[in-house]
Amino acid sequence: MLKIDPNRLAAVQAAENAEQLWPSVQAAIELEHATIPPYLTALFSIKQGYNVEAATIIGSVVREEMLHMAIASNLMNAIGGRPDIDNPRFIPAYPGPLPMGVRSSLTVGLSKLTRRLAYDVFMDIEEPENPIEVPVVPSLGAAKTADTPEYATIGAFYAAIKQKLIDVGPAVIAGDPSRQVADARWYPATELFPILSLPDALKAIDVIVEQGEGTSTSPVDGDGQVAHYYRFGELVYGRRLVRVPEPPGWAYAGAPVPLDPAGVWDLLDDAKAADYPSDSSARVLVEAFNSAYTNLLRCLQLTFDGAPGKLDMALSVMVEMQLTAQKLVCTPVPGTGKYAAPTFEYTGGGLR
Amino acid sequence: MVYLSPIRFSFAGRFQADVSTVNNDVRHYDNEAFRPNFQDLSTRDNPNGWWNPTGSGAFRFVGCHVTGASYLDGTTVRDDRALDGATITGAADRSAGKLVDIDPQWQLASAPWGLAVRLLLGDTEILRGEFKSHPFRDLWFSRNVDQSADGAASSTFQSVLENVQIAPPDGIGSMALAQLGKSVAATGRLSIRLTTFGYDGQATSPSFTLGTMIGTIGPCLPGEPESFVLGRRFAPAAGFTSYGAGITYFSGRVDRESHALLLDLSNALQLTDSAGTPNDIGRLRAGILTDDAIAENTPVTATNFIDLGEIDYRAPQWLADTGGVVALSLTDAQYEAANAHPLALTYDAPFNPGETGEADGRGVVAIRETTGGLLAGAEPAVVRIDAGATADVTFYAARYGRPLSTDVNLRQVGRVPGQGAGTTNPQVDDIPIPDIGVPTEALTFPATVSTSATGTAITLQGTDPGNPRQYLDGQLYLIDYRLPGQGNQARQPFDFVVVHVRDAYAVPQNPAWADIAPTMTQYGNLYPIMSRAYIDLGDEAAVAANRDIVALAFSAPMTDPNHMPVTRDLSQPKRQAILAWLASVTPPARDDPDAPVSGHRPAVRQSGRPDYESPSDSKTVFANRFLRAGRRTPADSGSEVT
Repeated sequence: MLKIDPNRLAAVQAAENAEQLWPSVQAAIELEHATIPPYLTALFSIKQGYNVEAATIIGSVVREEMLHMAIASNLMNAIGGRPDIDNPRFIPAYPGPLPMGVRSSLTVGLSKLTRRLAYDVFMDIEEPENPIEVPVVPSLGAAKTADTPEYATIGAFYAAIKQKLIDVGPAVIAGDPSRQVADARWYPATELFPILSLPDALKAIDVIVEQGEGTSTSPVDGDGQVAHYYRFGELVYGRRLVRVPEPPGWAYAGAPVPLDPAGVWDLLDDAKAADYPSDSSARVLVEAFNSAYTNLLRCLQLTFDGAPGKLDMALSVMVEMQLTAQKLVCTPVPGTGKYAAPTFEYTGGGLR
Repeated sequence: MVYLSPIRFSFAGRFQADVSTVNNDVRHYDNEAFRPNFQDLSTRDNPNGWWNPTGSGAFRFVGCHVTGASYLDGTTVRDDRALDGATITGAADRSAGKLVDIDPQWQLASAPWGLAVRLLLGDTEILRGEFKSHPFRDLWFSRNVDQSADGAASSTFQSVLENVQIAPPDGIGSMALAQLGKSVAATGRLSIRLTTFGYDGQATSPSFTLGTMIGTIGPCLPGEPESFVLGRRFAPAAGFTSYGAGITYFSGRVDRESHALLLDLSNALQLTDSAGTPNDIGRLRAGILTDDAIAENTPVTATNFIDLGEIDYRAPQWLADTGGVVALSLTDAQYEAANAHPLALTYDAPFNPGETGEADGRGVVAIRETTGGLLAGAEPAVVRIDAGATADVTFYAARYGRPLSTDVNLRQVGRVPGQGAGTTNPQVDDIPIPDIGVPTEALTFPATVSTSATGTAITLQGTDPGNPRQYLDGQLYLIDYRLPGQGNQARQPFDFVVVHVRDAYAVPQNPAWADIAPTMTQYGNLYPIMSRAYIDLGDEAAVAANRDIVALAFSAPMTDPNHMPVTRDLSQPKRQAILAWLASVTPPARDDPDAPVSGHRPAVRQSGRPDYESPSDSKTVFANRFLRAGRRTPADSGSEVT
């Protein structure tokens, strides 16, 4: 489980006004973003035309993490703050702990997709406070069970923010409504909506928590969508999650989710652009990738910093980044026997 | 004043042109005959989709840095080092600019779209502008004497930066920037010239899709042409390069304020590598021919040549450090002479007549200005017109660099067969190659234009060409323009106004997929980076599922880097039909977790990198076909024949 530094929770609880919540909400934006590079690296590592079910699962989670980042940014604007996205410090070091995480709890890197990665890292990131023990059929034994919570959890962190917003009262939503970002072309209005009131804010946080963790009694969220933890479970156990008559009412017993390792590019783990020889195709492509990624952060900064219409350009830049990644991952890194991974590094000052 | 000014700065580095190549063979536009392997990289045995089928079209600055600047101190030109090392790069808040041909049947006028140019000192942006789309000019194929095909080619992109934002000069300490700031305050624009060569089109190479770029930015005055220098035009006596010295077409200017002669040799001199090392042709001097009859490769004497100074092109890093711009100070007497006589470069020919007592040892003419110092120019050089619509083209003329009021004669080149096909390939040889230039009646314009000092615009009228190319929309026309009696050699062989007149199209009331499928399928075929990796535009379900993102690209303005189609060849009514269809479809529920993830469609499987060499010779092949003699029969006046 992603173990949150208890000081983070304490900071939320100690806040006396909206402004004192800004660092915590900024941390939430950073955390929601921080999962995207690892998930995208795994997604990009899938060769085109292979492992389609696995790609579908990861893609659907990434899409919601992007939504969560947008919701947290809307929340920041709603309480009068300003998201800080176009900043090298916005990107966590990979491999390393996630933002707010306890250093020893979970190390997240950038690696190709394996079931081991999905089990050890992705399911850990997404693990709910009280996961439901979903049986695996045909039986491989019980699925992953919960650690004993010794630390604050992401669910507890968001719950604390909700409580604090309630404590401060409706006046906490004092931000400029024109800074809110919502566009039904990209996310339905039930998921991404302007946060104009305290109830809006509470509902928005629920979207994040439920999509990530499900509810305490079900692996699906209020809309019936399988929560991230269990979606990665499908990938790990090789079966879709389906309803079954026996308790707990769900099992990994649905359609197969195959993962053919031959359909995954053998990417260099936790790569940096500097690891690729300066005069190599891999280097040229990774720098183009990082440039697109940095431009994406800049577009998102503009989007959530008063120019909501810039979201269209952010999406276009994301497509450019994805298409660059797909050329990158089939490019060998000379001298390694491996292929080039995206490195998600901030590049100021243009392509070198 | 243009970039060829005492006030300017230069930069050098590399560029990326990740152009897609499936559309390099016009026969790939035939949906009926299209085969999946036309999206594959070429092999030894099969051209397939040529050398970069998954190109994105991106055009980027890579590692470009300022190498020098100059400004005017009174009438004296001085160096300015304050900007040295500053970065030139593209936009940071949007997708990369794109590099696009107007049509597969005219691949000799590629133009950037959606390209921003930014100047950064450290991380601080001190200048930003939008590169107005104009195609390259003065393309030649023998710049690198040790290379062949596109890798040996070179060309220049001249245009203006629009909507320029420039930092106040305080604290930067650059007089050049301060003086450019005044030009920006007056016009909001700057003049820019990029020169590109040393392109690497080998898919196996680490520098694949990269080339060398040098650039110069200077002031822009109202009334000047944007995409060429209305100044002194140097032309080889025959072919693309001058005899012996191997110099191609270039432009110069005599600056009134500083009395400096400015020559743009950024694209003119031959090289021995892709980095810009000059091909040593010996001592090169600039001067004035007081006798207009002195031809290229002719010895000059003390009585017919006024020597203006040596050109230091062999100095280390000369091309990068100067941006290829030579500035020579003229005395008052030289200035007067330069305004009345042709200019020339001279060099010591291998059989220098000086050694034999001829020419006073002053060398021979390496290249000279056009006869009579005459120049005719037109812009824009590429024009897109819907059936029933019009577009303006502005014509200019000059004599010894001074604007000239004269007639410029215009005519359609007429029928040209066989353009835009690749080499022989049994898979496509059966597909007819459409003729271009017919029916001539679908494009009308005046036969003559009288130029004024600030140029004179004429209106091109397009009418429905009636789908003469069948599998390819509209028709392509070449307009030849020249001063009365002017020979071919005064104009670069590819200097035409190139016009794409689109077919008429009636937008259906409620467009069905079948109505737009031919267009969408063609784009899906031609751009595998989209169709294989993202959204197959030929697949109704895929397009419907991604309705909003497709609509976003198809409704973006032409100048937006994300505009679709990237080739910008879609007529307005056909675009309306596509947008109407997109608006009418219901995409699948977005919150369906089992909805296909774009980018990982179970499409054709991709392989790794190629392990064979595939030549990049698109422009070379195109140009050779175009220049091939006897392409038209004398009897063919351009009217429709069967």
